[in-house]
Amino acid sequence: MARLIVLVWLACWARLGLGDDPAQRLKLSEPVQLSYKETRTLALLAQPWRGRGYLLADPQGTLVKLQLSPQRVIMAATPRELLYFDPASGERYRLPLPAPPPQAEGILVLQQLLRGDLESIRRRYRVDYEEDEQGWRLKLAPLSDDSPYRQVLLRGDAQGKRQVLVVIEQDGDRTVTEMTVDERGSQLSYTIARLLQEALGQ
Amino acid sequence: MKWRLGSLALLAIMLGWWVGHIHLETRLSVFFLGSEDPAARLVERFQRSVFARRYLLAIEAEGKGQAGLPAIADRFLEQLAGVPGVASAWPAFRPPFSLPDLMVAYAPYAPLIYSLDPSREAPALFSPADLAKRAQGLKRALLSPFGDLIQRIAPRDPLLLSLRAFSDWKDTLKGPARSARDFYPILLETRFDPFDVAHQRDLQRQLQEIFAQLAQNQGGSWRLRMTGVPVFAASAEQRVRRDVTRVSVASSVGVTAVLLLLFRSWKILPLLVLVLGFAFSAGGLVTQWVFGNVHALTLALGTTLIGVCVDYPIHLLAHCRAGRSAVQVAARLGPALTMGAMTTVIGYLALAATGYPGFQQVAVFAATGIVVALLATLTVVPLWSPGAGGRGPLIQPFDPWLRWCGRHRRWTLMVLGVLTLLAMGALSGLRWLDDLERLAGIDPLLKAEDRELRQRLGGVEPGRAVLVEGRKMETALKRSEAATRILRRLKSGGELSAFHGLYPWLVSRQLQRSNWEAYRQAVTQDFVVAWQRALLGQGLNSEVLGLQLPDSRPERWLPPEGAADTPLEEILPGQIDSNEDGVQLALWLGPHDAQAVSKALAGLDGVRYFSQRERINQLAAEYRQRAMMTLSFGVGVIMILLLLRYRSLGNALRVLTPAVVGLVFVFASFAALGQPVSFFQLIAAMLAVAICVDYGIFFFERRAGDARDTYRAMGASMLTTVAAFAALGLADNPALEALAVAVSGGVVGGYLICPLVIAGDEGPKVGHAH
Repeated sequence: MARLIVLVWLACWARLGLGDDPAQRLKLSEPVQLSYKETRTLALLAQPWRGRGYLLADPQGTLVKLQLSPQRVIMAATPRELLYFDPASGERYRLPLPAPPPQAEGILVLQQLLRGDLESIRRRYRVDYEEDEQGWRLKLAPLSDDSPYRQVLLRGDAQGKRQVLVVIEQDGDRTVTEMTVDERGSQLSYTIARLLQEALGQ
Repeated sequence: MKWRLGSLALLAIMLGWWVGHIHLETRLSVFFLGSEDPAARLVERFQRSVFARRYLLAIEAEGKGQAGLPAIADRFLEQLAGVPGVASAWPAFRPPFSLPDLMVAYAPYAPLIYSLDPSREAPALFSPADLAKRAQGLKRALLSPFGDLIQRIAPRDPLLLSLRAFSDWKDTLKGPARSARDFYPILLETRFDPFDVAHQRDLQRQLQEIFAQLAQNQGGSWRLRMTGVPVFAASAEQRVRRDVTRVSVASSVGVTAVLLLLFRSWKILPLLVLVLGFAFSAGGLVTQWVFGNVHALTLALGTTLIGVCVDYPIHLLAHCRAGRSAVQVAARLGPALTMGAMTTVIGYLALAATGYPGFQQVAVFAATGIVVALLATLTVVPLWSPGAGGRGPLIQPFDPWLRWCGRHRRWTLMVLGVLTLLAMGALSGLRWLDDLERLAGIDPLLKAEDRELRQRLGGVEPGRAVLVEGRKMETALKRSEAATRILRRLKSGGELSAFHGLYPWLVSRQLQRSNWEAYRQAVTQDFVVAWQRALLGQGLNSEVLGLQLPDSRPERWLPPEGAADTPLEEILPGQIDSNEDGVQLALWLGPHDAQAVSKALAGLDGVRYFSQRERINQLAAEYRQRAMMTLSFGVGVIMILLLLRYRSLGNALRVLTPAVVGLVFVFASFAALGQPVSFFQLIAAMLAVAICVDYGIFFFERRAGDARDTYRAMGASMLTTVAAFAALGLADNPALEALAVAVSGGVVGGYLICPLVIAGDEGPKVGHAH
């Protein structure tokens, strides 16, 4: 799950379009809110699990995933830690970053992308980027069998309105997240801060 | 000539053997606790464990709001990997082993380990009515941040029973509650022995250098703090070595200065060095032979022997006059010197009788040294100074006092009597100090640093534990499980913040059997079907997560060494020990209410609450009581020896009284000044009595001179003794300081009182030369 949050975060940044120089295009200029629909197909679930809610990200590197259905849950990734709060059960977790591998893998990928350090990513993943008039597609395939992922695929339409992130884990579990831009602007900073406070229990 | 060369050759061999074979011990705990006491055994086990090889490092930003701490910490961790002697280093908030992987390894054993009290917990745990809720919880867990872990555990343990077993470790899995914004703790494990001070000090220097370079490169103001057993060991070793050097140099210089001042001659020094050489090398060799090592503090205390041992050759040389050869003087003085040496040896042997480990060494070292110094005085000194070249001290600072005592003895004695009564009255105000930690003189700055860093990390408190003993592992585990049940209760009640027990890493066979039986009775065919329905109700895969009907016996028991590949030494550092007495287990405690923990554990067989500090202080109180008994017993033995020699109670009392009265004044001074008294001062009192009695004997017998000559020679002895013991006062170690004050004060007091209690014309004057 921690890895997934991070990858969704990656998708948020990537939805701005990677172009010829993906590293340069990763920087958000203002907070953004996306609505999402998530479908998880796990071996331990008889039928796929579906969730939906909002993703909020800011240029400081914070991502909040506010799940509204099937029940309200807040998950957040700040540069220092991952937060989880389930109001129904009252469960609240804080996991420091960098967390031990494999949990750290996602954040490591993200950090390297944010630094524009594609060289480091290419040491562990084969990176394929394609773009045509329909949209764009970024594919990361791990070079080592130790990676928690079998494949990570991010694709977006040419208009930059809808993106889909597909994460296939080594055991075959698959998560598909569809995202559409909902709102953007500095007013979202307040929402992000409030959700972080709630996740922290402050 | 050949005897002279022979004596030199013997000394050279002894010194050579000494240098080649002495193993110098610097651990303070060995001197203050020894290795027999349970406290000492725990400390030693702790010192052997990986715990002791670990440093707790912390990186801090010195400026407020300074960013970049994780970055500098990461680079520091990267560089640590390449430092020789570093086995591993990791952020303290992340254990060096993968707890999730281990939990997965324990999942197949879930029906054997799920509860510490299955008979009480099983009915609620396996209630069919709650199965729908449990399935819901399983689904929620699958979708939580720990979903990856649950996915690995659930197929082997669908009811997630093993998670209950690991509930004490939940905090570790969740990570620290605080952010690493301004404080980044790192644990570093070294390959070196924690007491390999040379390597540890070198490592500490390298860590500081690497960090300083990184901080410079990164910019900003950063600080690296460190604590851990190796840090204390390096500091203690440095302090002990400094004390030894300082005390031995000061003692040697002091005694030499006193001798030169009194005798105005260099000629006497080589002979004294010869006698001391024999005394020290013999003391060191015998100590090494008996104990297998020589503690540095023994050497520091041993240097006081300089002051005691030079008395014998001084007396001998002071009485070598025209017409008397050294051999003749040695023969005449022999009995008195032997008597004096015996009383001193009794004093030092009394140290051993206190049971105090460090002083047992000192006693052996000193007793051997004194006996050998006496033998060297009577046999070797006459070889080198055969003629009548000796002379008494040229400066007689105490002659006026001797004259005063001769003229006004009666009323001075009365004043002394009144003062003694007053001093005895003041003794009731004595305060006792039973804090061995204070007496050990551990660097207070290091202690404060250690306390602060550990508090911020919120881990276990070193030195406080629940100790469990059993003849066999199974017994010890059963007892430890009983203790863990109580600790869990205390934790939920807020009286204990955390603890590191052995459950569920190691589980007794009896508990495994109880768990299995309860599980087997609960998981019936109906239960299996109900669970299947609950899974389907939550949309969970019942094929993977379904339950099987349990057999009469489990497929396999959890082995005594834990599940496969469990790094027990990493997970349970220093917590398991076994020897011929049985198995000892330690459950480390976090911050807690000592009284509540101790009370709650009372009555459990083979289980006891242990606080190193409290145990040490209890030991100090025991040592003090024993020291009191030893002091009384030692004085009694000396009195008997004096009675046997003089066959008169009055004479024996006269000889002994100066020493005892001198001490009464010293202790009265402590009481008046509000200076707390530890058993070190009591031990010092015994030593002072043993040394002072010599003066009484010499002054009473005056075998080779008149009262004035004898008193002068005694004055020289007293000053050298005081110079040697006063040098202990220069040590940083408070125990050595205590000895310095008490012995020096007692010896000076005893010396001054001698001519008051023993009149100049009294005594048997056996073998008077004139």
